[in-house]
Amino acid sequence: MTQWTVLYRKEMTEMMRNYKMIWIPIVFILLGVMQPVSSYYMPEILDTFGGLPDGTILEMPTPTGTEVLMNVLSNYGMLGVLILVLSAMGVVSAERQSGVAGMVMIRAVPYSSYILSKWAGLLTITLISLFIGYAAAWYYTGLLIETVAFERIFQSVVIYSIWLVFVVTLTLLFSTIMKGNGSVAFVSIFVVFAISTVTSILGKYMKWSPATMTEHTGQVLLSGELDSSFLLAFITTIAIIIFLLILSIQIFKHKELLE
Amino acid sequence: MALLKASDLVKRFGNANAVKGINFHIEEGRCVSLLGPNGAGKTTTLKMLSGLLEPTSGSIDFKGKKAKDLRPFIGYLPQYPAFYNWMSGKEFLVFAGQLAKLNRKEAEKRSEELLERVSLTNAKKRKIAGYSGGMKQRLGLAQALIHRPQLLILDEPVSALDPLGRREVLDMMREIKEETTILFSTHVLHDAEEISDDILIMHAGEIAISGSLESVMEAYRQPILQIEFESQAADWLKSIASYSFVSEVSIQGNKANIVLGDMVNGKQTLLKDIVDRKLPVRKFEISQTTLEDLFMKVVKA
Amino acid sequence: MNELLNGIPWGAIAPILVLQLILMITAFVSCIREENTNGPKWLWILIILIIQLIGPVLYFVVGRRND
Repeated sequence: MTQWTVLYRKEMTEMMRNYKMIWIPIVFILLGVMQPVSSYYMPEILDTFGGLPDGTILEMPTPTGTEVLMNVLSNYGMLGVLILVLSAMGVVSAERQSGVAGMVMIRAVPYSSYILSKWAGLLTITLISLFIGYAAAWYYTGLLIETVAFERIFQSVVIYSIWLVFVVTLTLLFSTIMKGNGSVAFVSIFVVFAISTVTSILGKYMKWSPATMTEHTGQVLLSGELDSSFLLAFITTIAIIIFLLILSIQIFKHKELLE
Repeated sequence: MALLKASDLVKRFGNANAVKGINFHIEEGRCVSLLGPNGAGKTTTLKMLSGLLEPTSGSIDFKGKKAKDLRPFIGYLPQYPAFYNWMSGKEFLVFAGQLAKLNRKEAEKRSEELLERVSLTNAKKRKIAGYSGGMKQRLGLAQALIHRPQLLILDEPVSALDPLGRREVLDMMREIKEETTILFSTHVLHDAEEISDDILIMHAGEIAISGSLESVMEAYRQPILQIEFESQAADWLKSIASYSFVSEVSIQGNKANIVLGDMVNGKQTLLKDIVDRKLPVRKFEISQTTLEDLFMKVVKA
Repeated sequence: MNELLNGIPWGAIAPILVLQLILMITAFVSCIREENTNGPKWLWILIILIIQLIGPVLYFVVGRRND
């Protein structure tokens, strides 16, 4: 068994023992399922508890299935990102702080194996949560509102996952650079927010930005077709992710462990 | 042949040189203690040897060859060992063994052996979070030995322990030294005197004295006169510095250590002085300088 | 009111309630077994049991010590 595998298995065991493997997917499922449920029952809820005068005719168009799913993804974009960043913030920094990172590195472990095992652990929890949660949302949307073609669901979730992978890779980088968990989370969320905002304001010049992945996701859901600028954004996003990983490894190499 | 040889090892942090070009070697099968006050550069030196810190310049040879990465041959116990507290003691050892490229079976077997050896067998299934300081130190010792290293490096292995824990760890080191070369740092001279074969004394980033314990003691040994009074006798003690045979006087309360150039002549003159002046003497003893005296001399120089 | 209760499609709602319950129980068990929480343990137990969804999540993110 390679050292990377040993480290990756340790990551997985740790996530089982601290219940991350249970609670993060459950939260993603609940976030995904509540959207179709509340869309479906909104008119009834308003009717029963809204206290509207008799005779008011509610003109609430039930949203389409794709609209519901787009709302699910926008929930993931806010609360989902927040939860992922907060749960990933200590991935390297906490181990550096406690000194246990040094205990690992005194074995002849390549710096890249350490960082990449962390990254793979983060990807596993992120993708499992996203896929399960989104699948649940899709199922409930089909049950309560209308069926959305599986193809579109599949394409959209794959594209969306690239954005989340970018987010956790960024968190990994800041967790390698900084020591305080709080500051890691704050800076990561700030940078993600800044990239999203700048991308939406300067859309014309930001066609390469990783944040456009969320727009492409919506595009695929609505029309089933990819925008022509997707390829550019895809390539730059992958390139940026690789660059962030290399940067994390290099920074980790130069950090003093075991102070 | 030397197991490990360090040549002109330098480590610079910013503008300060923590280690200023030191040379030393470690013979196979010896137990070597690295002595020095806090801030002498002991930890920095050990980290460079164990590959955790890259030297600014200089080289380290292992078994006569330039070695890039010594980590596979070295077992290292840091000053403050840390663990994954959610693991059990045994899980951590197996994890460490697998990282050191043992296969799962070997790692399990070796872990059991070492748990037995550091008397943690009863606690092996408990979470490390519940271990005491002494238990963590012993687990740290076990993880350093997991891959049967040729050189065991221990950074202040007993400094943080209570007397009982200290005794346990020292006894284990005495056993381990039969099989493995050990290099350990300490600022407790008594520990060094007790179990080491060779000593290296570091001060301000340089090696001040090195050699086998006996030869160093032999070379720097001086006869010394220890006098204890019932009350202060500072006036007289100050006056005796003018005798030509007295080379050094150090006073601690009612006690005084006097280093004499000429013991035979000196002790008679001083004894006579004491009798003449009717000084209230409680103890008058002739002995040898200890490692501690030597250490103090080096550090204060 | 009875009519409203009958109108609820339990087939769709039940899994949500079950998941919330699992989340709560997981957080509760984790909190009980934890030796040190950030802040008083009894407070976290209250938060987990009283505030649906948000309570357990808050506990996992803030209340648990990472080590």
